[in-house]
Amino acid sequence: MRMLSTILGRIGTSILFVCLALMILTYIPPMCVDDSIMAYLLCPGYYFNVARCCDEHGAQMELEIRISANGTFNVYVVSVCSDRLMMNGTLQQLYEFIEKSPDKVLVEYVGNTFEYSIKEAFNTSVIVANKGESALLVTYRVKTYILMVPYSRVKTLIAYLMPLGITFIMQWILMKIKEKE
Amino acid sequence: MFRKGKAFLEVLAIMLHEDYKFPVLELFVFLFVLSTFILMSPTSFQAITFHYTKERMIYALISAQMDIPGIPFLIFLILVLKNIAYGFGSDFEKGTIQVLLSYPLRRSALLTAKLISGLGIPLVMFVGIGIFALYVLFPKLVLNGITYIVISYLAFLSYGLLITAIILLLVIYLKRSGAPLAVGMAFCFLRIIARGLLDLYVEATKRTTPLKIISIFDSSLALRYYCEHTIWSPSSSEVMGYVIISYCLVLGLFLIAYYYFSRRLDI
Repeated sequence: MRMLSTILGRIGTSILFVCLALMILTYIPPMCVDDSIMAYLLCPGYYFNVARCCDEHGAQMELEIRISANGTFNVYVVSVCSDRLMMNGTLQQLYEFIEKSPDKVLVEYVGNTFEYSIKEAFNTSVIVANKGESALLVTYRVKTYILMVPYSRVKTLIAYLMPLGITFIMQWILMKIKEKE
Repeated sequence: MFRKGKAFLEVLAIMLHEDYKFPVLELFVFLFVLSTFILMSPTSFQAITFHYTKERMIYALISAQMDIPGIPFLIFLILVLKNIAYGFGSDFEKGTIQVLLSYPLRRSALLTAKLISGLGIPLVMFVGIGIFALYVLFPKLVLNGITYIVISYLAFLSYGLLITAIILLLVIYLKRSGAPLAVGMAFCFLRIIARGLLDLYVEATKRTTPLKIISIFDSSLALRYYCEHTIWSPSSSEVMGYVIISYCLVLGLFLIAYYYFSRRLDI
């Protein structure tokens, strides 16, 4: 019984150290791995995919987007990768996609400038559409960050592991106190 | 039977207590987790950006943890060297081994207890944390490719286990801790130097024979060329063959150690 209690206690302290390491990792700020500034001439009746994040496995990427143009444009932030929505195309194609999967549209915006940041991006595309009658010169800046660990996933893990570790340690401490008495 | 089992557990508890005094285990766990995530994270970004295949992705992520410079793998080897070379060697030097031999146990059972404590625990901890990190970063990848993950770990661990077997043999034969510890450290750095020289030689001569020879001792080399398809591209069955051969070698050395400890050791 004493041996089992000690083993569980040591497992508990190890779990707490795992949590400590994970907490330190979550405090490491995201690392910028790509910063690109580009321009695109967008004809009327067409759309263009300015930023794509095709990370179907994890949630380690963060995107920071800033778009500006010499006129009004529409922006759609959709939760799909480029295989379901082409890099560029006509507005008709875009409308068909939105009609088929309206739940995939996360943000819809109209204006001259657009700033947005996507935390823990899975499959995400940022679409700029020109619904006007004249061509638009769209300039955009996309910053890609990589997180050391997926924050939300790690926070959930810590939330489960921490009480488990504390429970294991508590029974060990209680046993030690009983032994002393 | 029950008496022997109890004695085995008692010896194991003594060894565990000696090898992992508080907070040795916790510190190593902490270092494993931290270094594994720090090395795996940039690799995972690379894997996502360049759309690696499932096998390539698993290889890239595990090699970040295990291959050169492989800080987590180095930490693992240091822990094993501390337990086997220093810990077990000190038992011989201080005469603690005689106390342990007084338990109603076979000598092979005593060595098994030492290997569970000195090698088994670090192995479970190391591979467990590696798979845990992979699961945190890529849950789908772990669920779909567990077989390939296991094979990759087996391939990468072959060299570490070979070093451990050699060190164990040296400890038992010399009954000292210093020399085996130095040899173990030398083997760790030898791998780094040998890999660098081998890469240069193969690049210059385009000969694959040295790669095949080294793969017998370190099957991760065959796995690397299987994934990268550069100068040498072994098939999956060839890689499995190298893994099996390297483990036969490791098993052979451990059996010699068992035989020597049980029958030939004069204590």
